[in-house]
Amino acid sequence: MTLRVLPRRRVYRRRMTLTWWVKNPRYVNYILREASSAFLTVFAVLYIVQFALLAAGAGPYGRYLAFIKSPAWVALNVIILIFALIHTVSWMFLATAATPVRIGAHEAPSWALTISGLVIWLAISVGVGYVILRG
Amino acid sequence: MANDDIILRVERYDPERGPRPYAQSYRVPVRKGMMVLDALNYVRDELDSSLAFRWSCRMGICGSCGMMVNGMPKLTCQDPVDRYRVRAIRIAALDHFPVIRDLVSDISDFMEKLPNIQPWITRTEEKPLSAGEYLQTPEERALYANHAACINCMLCYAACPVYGLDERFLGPAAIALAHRYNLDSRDQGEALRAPYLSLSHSVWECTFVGECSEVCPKHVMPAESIQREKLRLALRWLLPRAAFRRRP
Ligand code: SF4
Ligand code: FES
Repeated sequence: MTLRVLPRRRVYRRRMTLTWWVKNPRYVNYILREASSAFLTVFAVLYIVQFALLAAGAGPYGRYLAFIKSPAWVALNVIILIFALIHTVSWMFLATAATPVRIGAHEAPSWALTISGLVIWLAISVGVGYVILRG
Repeated sequence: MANDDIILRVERYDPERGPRPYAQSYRVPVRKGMMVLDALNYVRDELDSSLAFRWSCRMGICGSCGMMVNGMPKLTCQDPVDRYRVRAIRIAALDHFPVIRDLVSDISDFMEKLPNIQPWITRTEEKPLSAGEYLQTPEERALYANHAACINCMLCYAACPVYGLDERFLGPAAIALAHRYNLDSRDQGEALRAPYLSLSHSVWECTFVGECSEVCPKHVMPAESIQREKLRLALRWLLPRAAFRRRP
């Protein structure tokens, strides 16, 4: 009996398309979350620039204060704020799913951790907002 | 066409016929309680015996009937056709795996990776037989029970865009299984699994899309397992060795 060696299998590979993330709302959510980090980076850079301008003296900082009143600038900040909120809320969902918190022999359900996280975050935000706006 | 007929639009592939897949549609009369797998079996029994697909248990145990149904990875033996309100249901082999023929995909990539995470109870110190079995309390078992339910159906790989873009990624089920054994009170293998899990195409490649946990028919929660393994690996790296108590 001769042993027949099978030819190498010819297979078909379905490749991912550039628009793979559009077909499922959860993928869209994921892409928004990833994209939000770009907007948060822009915000962080602008924040540092703002400090540099403050250090540069009243002249440059005054011009900066006038500039940030422009509608385009406000619009950019609104977009950044929306992405910052998306990022924070989705982070609360993800981080709590990833962190096992054990109470006695049982693990705390992640929804309870998410709700606690959101409540703490809101309380801190309101507290900080109060301090800033009052001053 | 009878009112309760459905159309199965199957993406077929035959290497003898050409390098590209082609679509073929079949009309199937719907029976009460019919699953997508039953509809495919009707096609093979009554209409076209050349249609190739895998199945065995028909009860969500063997994990061999995974396919893309209307673009989503599904265990077809657990997927009722009347869930799809449309007349035509699209069926294709699982995403992200090479297709051998019709709806049969080649999952050897997973099978080759799997032994590297030592998916079995690994002991560095064996007790003598006379010491009896390794006992475990129900609470200790509950820690990993859901991760142990994996049936290797590969739906999570088909749902994972990270694996789709880079098949070197170890992937959801394999890491979930590593996590399952790392949580097992009888296991002492975490230190042995850690170097492999720390490789660049392992846990750190996961960006927590989370879809693997959504599609998993057994609630294994692979996405959460991967993040928890990241946490364990980071702590292992940060904390002094004395912080890790060796299991008895
Ligand atoms: S983790 Fe879930 S989806 Fe992935 S192979 Fe196991 S049972 Fe299937
Ligand atoms: S046929 Fe066994 S899981 Fe579907």
